Amino acid sequence: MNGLFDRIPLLKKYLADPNLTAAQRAAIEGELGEISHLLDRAEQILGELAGSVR
Amino acid sequence: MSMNVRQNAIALLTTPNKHSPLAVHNAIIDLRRNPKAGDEHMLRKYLDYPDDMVVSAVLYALIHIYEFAPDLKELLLRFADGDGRDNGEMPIQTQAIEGLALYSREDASALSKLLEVASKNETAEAPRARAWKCIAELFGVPWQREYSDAMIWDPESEKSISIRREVHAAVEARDGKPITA
Repeated sequence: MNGLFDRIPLLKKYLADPNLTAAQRAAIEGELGEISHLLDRAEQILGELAGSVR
Repeated sequence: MSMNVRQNAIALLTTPNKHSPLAVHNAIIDLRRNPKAGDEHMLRKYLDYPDDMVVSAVLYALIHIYEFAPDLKELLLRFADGDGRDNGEMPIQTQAIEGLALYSREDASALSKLLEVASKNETAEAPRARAWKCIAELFGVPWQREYSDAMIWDPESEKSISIRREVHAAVEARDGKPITA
């Protein structure tokens, strides 16, 4: 989990590389999409937990 | 504790060659969330595993979940210098740095290694930023979220240099003695 906080700025940095190939860019964007999905899912679970203790 | 999850994890970890690194990593997480004394002996075998996320997950377990092992600090000192299996955010080195920070209030050699890794220009940006974050916390410097982003984006930027100066000044001001928790 710790690594996620560093992974996001690293991916942003990789995306800024002008020599990035289209395939590399797609891979990085895919990974960012996956992280975004994970965070959405975590937020959803937190919402459910908050609802269940009310 | 879920005995079922635990048993499945143990079954997988006793036949690692049949599974992907991701499956092994997930089994380690399952095991450490359902721990029993003695599991660490099984997990330690995975310190030699070729995948960085697997090794990092084992280190986390040894640091935070199981009883202190006398050789743990030596392991962390070694991994804090970097490991050839590491990629990207360097999870092995970063985990070792986090682990060393836990010892650094009482152990001068752990603190010294943290300062050494943080000071080296050759240290990869993510573990280097993490080392500075740990040092900042040990010496009472509030670590803003954007500090890590700045140091990862460009460790030699004005912003990164000024962050290091700020933390370094706090270390000097306390004569190298961390704040006691």
